Amino acid sequence: MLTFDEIKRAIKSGKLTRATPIAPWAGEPRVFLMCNPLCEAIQSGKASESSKERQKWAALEAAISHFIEGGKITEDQIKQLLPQKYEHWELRSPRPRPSMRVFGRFARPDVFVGTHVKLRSELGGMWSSEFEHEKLVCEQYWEEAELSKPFTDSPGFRYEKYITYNASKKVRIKP
Amino acid sequence: MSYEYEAALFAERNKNRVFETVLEALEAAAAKDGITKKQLAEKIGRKPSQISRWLSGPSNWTLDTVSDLLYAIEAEMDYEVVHHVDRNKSNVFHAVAYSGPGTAETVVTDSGSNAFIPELKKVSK
Repeated sequence: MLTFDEIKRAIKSGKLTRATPIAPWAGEPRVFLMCNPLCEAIQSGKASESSKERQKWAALEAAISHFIEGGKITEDQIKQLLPQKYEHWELRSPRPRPSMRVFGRFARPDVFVGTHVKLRSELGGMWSSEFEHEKLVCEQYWEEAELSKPFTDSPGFRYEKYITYNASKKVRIKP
Repeated sequence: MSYEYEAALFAERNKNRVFETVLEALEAAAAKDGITKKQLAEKIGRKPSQISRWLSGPSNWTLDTVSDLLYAIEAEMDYEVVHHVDRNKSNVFHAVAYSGPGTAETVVTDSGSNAFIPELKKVSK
């Protein structure tokens, strides 16, 4: 787990950028930090000439803002990838199509670091070489940001230990 | 004329807020009355798989979706327009996010109401 000093150093040195909520009046009970590749992808996407493309990136930014503002989170929004011991996570922005996935890891409970973003259509199925490759890219960007070990709740990997309130793995309504 | 990025951000934010409000109401009904996805589906003449899709996120919701889901638990939305300028700045921040005056040590913690959020700091007004 990263210390507060380590996180602050990474922000100060420009290795991480803290995302802010869409609404300036909103609280920030959670933190979303971005490695440079993610930051650059969002900056480039939101500057697109295509309205449809900009809307896609707006949805992604809104998903990030929802996390920061303490919105309800389930696996449909943020999911831990298998095998859990490697601590790879994805934030999902399903629409507008094509769906996007932000790879990342938790630095501390409620502090997520997004490393980079990929279109879901480029990742193939579960365990595909493309998907597995992106998990390694996630680790590579994490190391490039000079971050130490991510937060883990091994061996239980309880969802609520990563996102400590207003979060549950599944929606609490029985089938 | 191109769609303003800022407007798109707020449109997405609003979808997320409505989704959260409806989901909260449905989860409360499930906890209180034991209502299931199947029962929700039956009440509005939909398939349970459609309910599951709706509950996975607001991206394909319409105003009808909001009405249908709340109708299933015999409820409806209340509406109020709030101008941005009238919004009060929240004083709830994670310790990493706090960037107000002074150092982190000057952040006043409220150990009462937020005791369940270990790293959450409440800034005094």
